[in-house]
Amino acid sequence: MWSYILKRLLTAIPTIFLVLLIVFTLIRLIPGDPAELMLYELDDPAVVQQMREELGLDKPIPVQFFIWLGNLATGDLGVSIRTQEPVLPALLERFSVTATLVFLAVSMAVMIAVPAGMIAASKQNSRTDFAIVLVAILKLSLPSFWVGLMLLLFFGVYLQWLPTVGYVELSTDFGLGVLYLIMPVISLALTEIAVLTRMMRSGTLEVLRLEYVTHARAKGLSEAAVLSRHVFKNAFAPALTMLGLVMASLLGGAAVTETVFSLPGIGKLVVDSIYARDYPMLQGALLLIAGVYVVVNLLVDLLYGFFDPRVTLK
Amino acid sequence: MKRLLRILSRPNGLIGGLMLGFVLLIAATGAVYTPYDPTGQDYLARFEGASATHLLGTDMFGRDLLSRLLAGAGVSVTVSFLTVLVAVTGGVIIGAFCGYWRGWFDRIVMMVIEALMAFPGILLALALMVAIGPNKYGVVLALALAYLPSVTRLVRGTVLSLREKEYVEASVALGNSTFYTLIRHVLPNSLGPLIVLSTTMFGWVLLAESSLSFLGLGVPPPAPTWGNMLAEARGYLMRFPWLGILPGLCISFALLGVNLFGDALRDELDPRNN
Amino acid sequence: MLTATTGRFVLSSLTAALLFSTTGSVQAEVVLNVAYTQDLRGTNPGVDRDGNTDTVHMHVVEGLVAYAADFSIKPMLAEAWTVSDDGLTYTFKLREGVPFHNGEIMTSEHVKWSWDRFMAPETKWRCRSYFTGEDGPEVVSVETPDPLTVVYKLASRSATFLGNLARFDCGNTAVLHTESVDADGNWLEPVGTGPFKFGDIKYGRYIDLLKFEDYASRSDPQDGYAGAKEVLVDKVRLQILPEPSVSKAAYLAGDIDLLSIEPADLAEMELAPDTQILSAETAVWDTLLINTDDPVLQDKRIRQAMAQAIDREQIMAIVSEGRGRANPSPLPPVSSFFTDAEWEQLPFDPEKAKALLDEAGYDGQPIELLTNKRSGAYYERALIAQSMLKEAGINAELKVLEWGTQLDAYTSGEYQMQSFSYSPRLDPALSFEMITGEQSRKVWNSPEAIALLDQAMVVSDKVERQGIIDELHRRFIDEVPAIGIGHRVEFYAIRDSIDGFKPWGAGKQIFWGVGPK
Repeated sequence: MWSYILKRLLTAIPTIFLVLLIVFTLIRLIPGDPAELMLYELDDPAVVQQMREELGLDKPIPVQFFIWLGNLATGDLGVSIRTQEPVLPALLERFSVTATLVFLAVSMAVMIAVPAGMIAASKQNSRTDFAIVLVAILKLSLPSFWVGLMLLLFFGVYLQWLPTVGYVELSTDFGLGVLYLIMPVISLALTEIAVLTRMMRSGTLEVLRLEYVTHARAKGLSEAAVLSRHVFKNAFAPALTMLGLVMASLLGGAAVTETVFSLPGIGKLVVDSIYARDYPMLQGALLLIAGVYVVVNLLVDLLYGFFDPRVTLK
Repeated sequence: MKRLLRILSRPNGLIGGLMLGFVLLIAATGAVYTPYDPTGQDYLARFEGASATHLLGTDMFGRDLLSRLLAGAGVSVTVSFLTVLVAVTGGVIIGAFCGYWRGWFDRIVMMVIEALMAFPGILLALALMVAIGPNKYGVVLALALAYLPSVTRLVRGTVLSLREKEYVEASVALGNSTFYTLIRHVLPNSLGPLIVLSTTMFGWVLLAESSLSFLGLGVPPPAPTWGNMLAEARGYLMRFPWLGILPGLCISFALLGVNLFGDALRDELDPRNN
Repeated sequence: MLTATTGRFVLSSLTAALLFSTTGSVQAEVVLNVAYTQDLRGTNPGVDRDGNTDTVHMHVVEGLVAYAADFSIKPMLAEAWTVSDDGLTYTFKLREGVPFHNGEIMTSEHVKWSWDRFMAPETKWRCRSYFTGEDGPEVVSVETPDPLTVVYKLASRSATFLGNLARFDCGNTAVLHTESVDADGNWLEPVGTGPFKFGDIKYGRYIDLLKFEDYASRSDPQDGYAGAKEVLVDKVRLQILPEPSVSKAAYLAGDIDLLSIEPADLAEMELAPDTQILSAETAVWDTLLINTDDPVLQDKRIRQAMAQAIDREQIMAIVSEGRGRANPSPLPPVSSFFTDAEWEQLPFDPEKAKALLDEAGYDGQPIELLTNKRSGAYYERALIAQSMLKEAGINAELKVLEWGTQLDAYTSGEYQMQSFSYSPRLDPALSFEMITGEQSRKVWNSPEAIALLDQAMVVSDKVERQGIIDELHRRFIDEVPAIGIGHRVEFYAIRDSIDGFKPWGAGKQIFWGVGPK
C-alpha cells in the first residue's frame, strides 16, 4: 500500500506543476497590476515603477515563474502584496479555519444524509421517500449566500442567539468557538446534505437489488439490520468518491460562506487576492488547494478499498 | 418521443416538466415582450409596492420588477443553456478523443483536466471572469471551463469501457473504421448519463451565476439576471424583502423543476429499467 | 456575549461593558467595536497604505503638524513654528517630554532620523517627490540646533509644504523611534507617539488599537487630527467586514457599535433601536471623468452638451437619499476657498445640450462609460447619468468592470468616460492638481490650466490664491474635462450609549474622545 501511495503522490507532481503554470499565466493575463492598485492616486510614476521592479513584475513572465519556483524550492513563498504578511503562515492559519469549517459541515452532512438517503431508498416511492427527496431538492435550489444571510438575520439579529461576526479557534476556547461555527457549518452543510442524500438513495437502491440482500432478508433479519449491516458499506462507496470531490472543492470554494459569516478562511483569501492582484498570495493559496485536492482524493481512494472490498489498490 | 412520454408519466417527471416548461415559456416571453423597458429608470417611482401600473412593484432605480424578472429569465436561461452547451460539446469532443486515441494525447489532456479539477470551480470562474472581462459570454466561458472537466471525465470513462464491449469490437471487425464506430455506437450509449449531468449542470449554473454576482462578478448589470437581481437586493432584505424574494423564488422554482425532471430522466434512462 | 478570559471580561458590546463596570464587581475592559471594510495594508505609515490604512496609522503615529477639523494646519508634536520672511526657512519648536510607545522621550534627533529615513529612496515613501523639487519645493537641509528645535530649509517658496507634511497619505510624515526598524533598517512596527498602539492584527478578522496609557496630550481642544487626544476606551477593535449586508446585520445584532452606512440603508438604520445617525459632507469628490483626447470627446461642445444633459442635483438626491448637495467644482464646499464663484456651472438644460450636439455634428457615436460595483455608488451614479445622457440623444453605454481593471484604464488613460472618486484633498490647489497635468491618468491637460495650477501651488497669499482658484474653476466649467456630481456625504450608525464620535469632512474616523456616555 505504501508503494501505491508513493506512486500516487509522484504522479500528482505534474498535475500540480500544471496548476501552477495555469495560475501563473492566468493571473498575469488579468488587466491591472498590484502596484497600480496600491498607488492609484499617486503623483509619482517613478514610485510605481520602483514598486514593479521590487515585485519583479518588470521581468518577462517565464522568468518570473522560474524565480518563483526557485524560491519555492527553498520554502520561500514570498510576502503578500496586499497586506505585507508572509504567505506561508498566513495560508496555514487561513487553511485551518476552512478545514475546521468543511470538516464539521461534511461530518454533519454525512450524519444526516446517510440515514436519510437509505431510509428513502428502502421505502422507495412511498410518501417518506417523496418527502425526503423533495426536501433535498429544495435545499439544492437555494443560493448559499441567500441561505447564509437568512440564517444571519434570523439567529443573529432576530433571536440574537448566535454571534454574527468573528471567529474563535476551537483550540483557544472550544465552547465559544463552536458558537461562532454553528451558522456557517449549517449553511455549508445544507447543500452537501442535499447532494449526499440523493447519492445515498440511488446507491442504496442499486445495492438493494443485489442477491445477497435478498438472502439476508430471507434469513429473517430486520430491515434495519439489513440496511446497517449489509447495505451501508456498499452503498456508501460511490457516495464517498463524491464526498471526496465535494470536500476538496469546498476547501477552496467555501468563499461565499466565508464572506457571509466573515470567517478568515482560504476561499475568502483567494477572492481578496484576485481583486488585489496579490500574486504571491494567490499562487501560494492555489498551490496549497491543489495539494489538498490530491491528498484528499488519495485518502478517498484508500478508504474506498475499505468500503468496497472488490477494489484492490495497484 | 415515447421516452419523453414515459418520463412525463412519472409524477416527478410531470411536475418537473411542467415547471421547466413554464420557466422556458417565461424566458421566451421575456425575450420578446416586457411591460416596461427592464433597464428603464423612473426616479419618481422607486421602491413602489405592487400596483396596477407596476404589477410586482419597482426596485431601487424605479425599474419595473416584473419586466426585469421576465427579461432576467431570458438572460439567466440563455446563460445556463449556453454554458451547458459549451461544457458538454467541449467535454464530449475532448473526452471522446481521449478515450479513442488513448496514449500520450490522452495522458496530456487528462493531466490538464486534472489540473483544472484541482481548482474549486467558483474560484476558477472568478479568476477567468476578471481576466476575460465582464460580459454575458465571459460568464458562459468561465463557468463552462469550470464544468468542462467533469463532462470530459464522464465521456472518456464511458468511451474507454465501451471500446472493450463485444458489439464495438464486432463493428470494428466488420471493417468499420474505429472513428465511425465511435460515432455510431459509443456516443449514443453515453447519452443517458450525459443528459442527466446536463440537467444537474443547468441548475448549478443558475446558482453559480448568482454566487458570482454576490462575489462581485456575474453577468454585469444593468442587464438583469435572476442571479444578479438577487445579489443586488441583499442590501434591502429587511426593508424591501420582495426585491430579493421574487428573483430568489424564480431561481428556486427553476431549480426545483430542473432537478425533478432530471431525477425522472435518470430513472428512465437507467438501463436496468429497460 | 460575555466571556471570561484570564480573569478579565471582554465584552463585545460597549453597552454591556458599561452595565458591568458600574456594578463595580468586575474590572471591565471597555471595547469599541467598529466595522471596517478592509484589511490593513501594513503597519508602515506613508509606505504601506490606502485610505483605510491611513486612518489606522493616524491613531498610532503623529507628525510635527496636523490637519485641524477645518483643514487648516495646526501644530502637533511641534509646540509652534516660525517661517522666515523669504519663506525658505521653517523653524519648529518641539513639545517637551513627549514619550514614544517604548517610553523614550522624543527629541529633534528622532525628527531628523525619521525624515532621513523617509527621504531615502529605499524606504519607498509615497510622498518623497513632494520634497525633492519634483512636485514641490526641494528640502535642502534639516538641522537640529538643540534637542527641541528642528530647522527645515527649502530651495523655493511653497504654499503646500506644511500641508504635505500633514497629509494622511504621507503618514503625516510621522516622527518615529529608531526601534521601528531593525539593525538593517528593515521595518518592524511603528514605535510612535500616538494615543493608540497596535494590538493584535489578525488579517481577515480584526485590527486592535490599544490605549497608550502614557500618551502626552496637547492642552488645546480636540480639533480634527490636531489638538487634545483623550482616549476613553481601553481598546478599539476594527472588525474586518467587507460585505455591507453582513456588517449591517452585525450592528443590528449588537456585535458592532459603530458602522459606516450606505445612504440606501439610512431609512432602515434610523429605525434601529438606540441608534443615532451621524453624517458629514466630506471632501471625497464623486465625478465623471472625460477623456479629452478621445476622437469624439475632444470636441468641447460635446463635453459641454454632456454637462448640460446631466442633472447632478437629481443624481445626488438619489444616491444620497436626499441628504447630499450637488456641486460643480472639484473643490469641496467644506473648504474655506469654496465661494460663490465655485457654484458657477453650466445649468441642466437638455434642449441646449441637443442644440450643442447638432452644432458639433454628433451623430450617435457610442460613448462608453466605465464603472464598477464597489461601495461608494460609482455604479449608481453612472447608471443614472447614462439614462440622462440617452435622454439628450447621446448614445452612452455602460460598462461595468472590476475595480482593478477600471483602474488600469484610469492609469493608462485608455477610456472614454468613467465614474470615479478621489479621496479628500485638503488644499485647494491639490483639488485641481488631482485631475490637471500631462500624465496619462489626468484628464485636464490644457497648458493654461497647468500654468494656473503651478501658480496656485506656490502662492500663499490668501486673496491672490483665491483669485487663481476661481479662475481654475471657471475654466474647468468651460472646458469640461470632468463633470462633478458633488462631494460625498458619509453616514454613520452609532449606539446611543456612545458619546463623542464626530464624522469629519476629511473622510477620516477619529476614535479618541469617543467613549461611554
